[in-house]
Amino acid sequence: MTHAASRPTRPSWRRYMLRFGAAMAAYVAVVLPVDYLAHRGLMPAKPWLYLVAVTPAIPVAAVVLIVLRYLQEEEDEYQRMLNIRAYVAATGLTLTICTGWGFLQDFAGLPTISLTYVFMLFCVCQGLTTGWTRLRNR
Amino acid sequence: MKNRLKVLRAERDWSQADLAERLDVSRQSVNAIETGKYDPSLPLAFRIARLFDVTIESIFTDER
Repeated sequence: MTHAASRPTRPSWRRYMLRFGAAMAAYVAVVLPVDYLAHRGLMPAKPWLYLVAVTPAIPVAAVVLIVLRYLQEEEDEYQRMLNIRAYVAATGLTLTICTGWGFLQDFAGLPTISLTYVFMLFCVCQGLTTGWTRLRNR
Repeated sequence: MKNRLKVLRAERDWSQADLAERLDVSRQSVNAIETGKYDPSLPLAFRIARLFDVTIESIFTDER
Protein backbone atom coordinates (compact mmCIF):
# COMPACT_ATOMS: atom_id res chain seq x y z
CA MET A 1 0.00 0.00 0.00
CA THR A 2 1.38 3.41 -0.92
CA HIS A 3 0.77 6.45 1.20
CA ALA A 4 0.97 10.13 0.29
CA ALA A 5 3.24 10.97 3.23
CA SER A 6 5.79 8.23 2.56
CA ARG A 7 6.13 8.94 -1.17
CA PRO A 8 8.62 11.58 -2.24
CA THR A 9 6.11 12.90 -4.81
CA ARG A 10 2.44 12.13 -5.24
CA PRO A 11 1.56 10.16 -8.41
CA SER A 12 -0.75 12.95 -9.61
CA TRP A 13 2.06 15.51 -9.28
CA ARG A 14 4.53 13.18 -11.01
CA ARG A 15 2.09 12.67 -13.89
CA TYR A 16 1.53 16.43 -14.08
CA MET A 17 5.26 17.16 -14.25
CA LEU A 18 5.74 14.53 -16.98
CA ARG A 19 2.84 15.90 -19.06
CA PHE A 20 3.94 19.50 -18.47
CA GLY A 21 7.50 18.60 -19.52
CA ALA A 22 6.19 16.90 -22.67
CA ALA A 23 4.04 19.94 -23.55
CA MET A 24 6.99 22.29 -23.04
CA ALA A 25 9.20 20.05 -25.19
CA ALA A 26 6.49 20.10 -27.87
CA TYR A 27 6.32 23.91 -27.61
CA VAL A 28 10.07 24.23 -28.19
CA ALA A 29 9.95 21.61 -30.96
CA VAL A 30 7.26 23.63 -32.77
CA VAL A 31 8.31 27.21 -32.06
CA LEU A 32 11.93 26.79 -33.22
CA PRO A 33 11.15 25.56 -36.77
CA VAL A 34 8.32 28.13 -37.16
CA ASP A 35 10.69 30.89 -36.02
CA TYR A 36 13.35 29.58 -38.44
CA LEU A 37 10.90 29.62 -41.37
CA ALA A 38 9.53 33.06 -40.47
CA HIS A 39 12.95 34.70 -40.19
CA ARG A 40 14.12 33.30 -43.52
CA GLY A 41 10.96 34.22 -45.41
CA LEU A 42 10.11 30.57 -45.98
CA MET A 43 6.59 30.63 -44.56
CA PRO A 44 3.89 29.21 -46.86
CA ALA A 45 1.30 31.40 -48.56
CA LYS A 46 -2.11 32.15 -47.04
CA PRO A 47 -4.17 30.41 -45.81
CA TRP A 48 -1.45 27.90 -44.74
CA LEU A 49 0.53 30.80 -43.29
CA TYR A 50 -2.11 31.24 -40.56
CA LEU A 51 -2.09 27.56 -39.70
CA VAL A 52 1.72 27.32 -39.46
CA ALA A 53 2.01 30.61 -37.54
CA VAL A 54 -0.52 29.59 -34.90
CA THR A 55 0.85 26.04 -34.40
CA PRO A 56 3.01 26.96 -31.34
CA ALA A 57 -0.21 27.92 -29.52
CA ILE A 58 -1.36 24.27 -29.57
CA PRO A 59 1.11 23.12 -26.84
CA VAL A 60 0.09 26.21 -24.84
CA ALA A 61 -3.54 25.06 -24.96
CA ALA A 62 -2.29 21.60 -23.96
CA VAL A 63 -0.64 23.08 -20.86
CA VAL A 64 -3.97 24.59 -19.77
CA LEU A 65 -5.68 21.20 -20.22
CA ILE A 66 -2.83 19.47 -18.36
CA VAL A 67 -3.27 21.85 -15.40
CA LEU A 68 -7.04 21.24 -15.35
CA ARG A 69 -6.49 17.48 -15.49
CA TYR A 70 -3.96 17.62 -12.66
CA LEU A 71 -6.43 19.53 -10.48
CA GLN A 72 -8.99 16.77 -11.13
CA GLU A 73 -6.52 13.99 -10.37
CA GLU A 74 -4.83 15.42 -7.27
CA GLU A 75 -5.70 13.05 -4.40
CA ASP A 76 -4.66 15.39 -1.61
CA GLU A 77 -7.34 18.08 -1.23
CA TYR A 78 -5.07 20.48 0.70
CA GLN A 79 -2.35 20.26 -1.95
CA ARG A 80 -5.03 20.79 -4.60
CA MET A 81 -6.18 23.96 -2.84
CA LEU A 82 -2.60 25.24 -2.56
CA ASN A 83 -1.98 24.63 -6.25
CA ILE A 84 -5.24 26.31 -7.27
CA ARG A 85 -4.14 29.33 -5.22
CA ALA A 86 -0.74 29.29 -6.92
CA TYR A 87 -2.33 29.14 -10.41
CA VAL A 88 -4.77 31.95 -9.61
CA ALA A 89 -1.93 34.07 -8.21
CA ALA A 90 0.21 33.35 -11.29
CA THR A 91 -2.68 34.29 -13.60
CA GLY A 92 -3.26 37.52 -11.66
CA LEU A 93 0.43 38.37 -11.69
CA THR A 94 0.66 37.76 -15.44
CA LEU A 95 -2.46 39.88 -16.09
CA THR A 96 -1.14 42.69 -13.91
CA ILE A 97 2.30 42.72 -15.54
CA CYS A 98 0.88 42.56 -19.08
CA THR A 99 -1.75 45.23 -18.46
CA GLY A 100 0.79 47.42 -16.67
CA TRP A 101 3.22 47.04 -19.58
CA GLY A 102 0.40 47.85 -22.01
CA PHE A 103 -0.29 51.14 -20.25
CA LEU A 104 3.44 51.92 -20.18
CA GLN A 105 3.55 51.28 -23.95
CA ASP A 106 0.51 53.49 -24.60
CA PHE A 107 1.23 56.36 -22.24
CA ALA A 108 4.97 56.30 -21.57
CA GLY A 109 6.40 55.21 -24.90
CA LEU A 110 7.94 51.95 -23.72
CA PRO A 111 8.79 49.46 -26.50
CA THR A 112 6.18 47.01 -27.79
CA ILE A 113 6.78 43.42 -26.72
CA SER A 114 5.36 40.47 -28.67
CA LEU A 115 2.35 38.78 -27.04
CA THR A 116 4.04 35.43 -27.64
CA TYR A 117 6.09 36.11 -24.47
CA VAL A 118 2.95 36.06 -22.30
CA PHE A 119 3.05 32.26 -22.03
CA MET A 120 6.67 32.29 -20.89
CA LEU A 121 5.85 35.05 -18.41
CA PHE A 122 2.98 32.94 -17.05
CA CYS A 123 5.31 29.93 -16.67
CA VAL A 124 7.79 32.07 -14.71
CA CYS A 125 4.97 33.50 -12.54
CA GLN A 126 3.61 30.01 -11.93
CA GLY A 127 7.05 28.78 -10.89
CA LEU A 128 7.37 31.69 -8.46
CA THR A 129 3.88 31.36 -6.93
CA THR A 130 4.14 27.58 -6.61
CA GLY A 131 7.58 27.91 -4.97
CA TRP A 132 6.29 30.62 -2.63
CA THR A 133 3.23 28.51 -1.69
CA ARG A 134 5.41 25.48 -0.96
CA LEU A 135 7.87 27.50 1.11
CA ARG A 136 5.02 28.87 3.24
CA ASN A 137 3.44 25.46 3.77
CA ARG A 138 6.34 23.14 4.47
CA MET B 1 -13.05 25.57 13.21
CA LYS B 2 -11.19 24.14 16.20
CA ASN B 3 -10.13 20.50 16.41
CA ARG B 4 -8.59 17.93 18.76
CA LEU B 5 -6.51 16.24 16.09
CA LYS B 6 -3.19 17.01 17.76
CA VAL B 7 -4.43 15.61 21.09
CA LEU B 8 -5.79 12.43 19.49
CA ARG B 9 -2.55 11.98 17.58
CA ALA B 10 -0.43 12.55 20.68
CA GLU B 11 -2.50 9.98 22.64
CA ARG B 12 -1.42 7.38 20.10
CA ASP B 13 2.14 8.69 19.99
CA TRP B 14 1.92 9.28 16.25
CA SER B 15 3.93 11.90 14.41
CA GLN B 16 2.25 14.10 11.80
CA ALA B 17 3.89 11.92 9.15
CA ASP B 18 2.43 8.76 10.79
CA LEU B 19 -1.06 10.24 10.75
CA ALA B 20 -0.62 11.52 7.19
CA GLU B 21 0.39 8.03 6.09
CA ARG B 22 -2.69 6.50 7.72
CA LEU B 23 -4.97 9.09 6.10
CA ASP B 24 -3.18 8.90 2.74
CA VAL B 25 -2.59 12.66 2.65
CA SER B 26 0.56 14.77 2.83
CA ARG B 27 2.17 15.74 6.15
CA GLN B 28 1.53 19.38 5.21
CA SER B 29 -2.21 18.59 5.12
CA VAL B 30 -2.14 17.20 8.65
CA ASN B 31 -0.18 20.20 9.87
CA ALA B 32 -2.59 22.64 8.18
CA ILE B 33 -5.63 20.91 9.74
CA GLU B 34 -4.06 20.74 13.21
CA THR B 35 -3.11 24.39 13.19
CA GLY B 36 -6.55 25.45 11.94
CA LYS B 37 -5.19 26.81 8.67
CA TYR B 38 -7.35 24.41 6.71
CA ASP B 39 -10.74 22.82 7.40
CA PRO B 40 -10.97 19.36 5.82
CA SER B 41 -13.76 18.35 3.47
CA LEU B 42 -16.54 16.16 4.83
CA PRO B 43 -15.10 12.96 3.26
CA LEU B 44 -11.69 13.62 4.84
CA ALA B 45 -13.30 14.51 8.18
CA PHE B 46 -15.13 11.15 8.07
CA ARG B 47 -11.85 9.36 7.31
CA ILE B 48 -10.22 11.06 10.30
CA ALA B 49 -13.15 10.18 12.58
CA ARG B 50 -13.14 6.56 11.42
CA LEU B 51 -9.38 6.28 11.99
CA PHE B 52 -9.72 7.45 15.61
CA ASP B 53 -13.02 5.58 16.03
CA VAL B 54 -14.86 8.67 17.26
CA THR B 55 -17.55 10.98 15.86
CA ILE B 56 -16.70 14.00 13.70
CA GLU B 57 -18.24 16.33 16.30
CA SER B 58 -15.90 15.02 18.97
CA ILE B 59 -12.90 16.05 16.85
CA PHE B 60 -14.13 19.24 15.20
CA THR B 61 -16.01 22.02 16.96
CA ASP B 62 -17.62 24.99 15.27
CA GLU B 63 -15.88 27.67 17.34
CA ARG B 64 -13.08 30.08 16.56
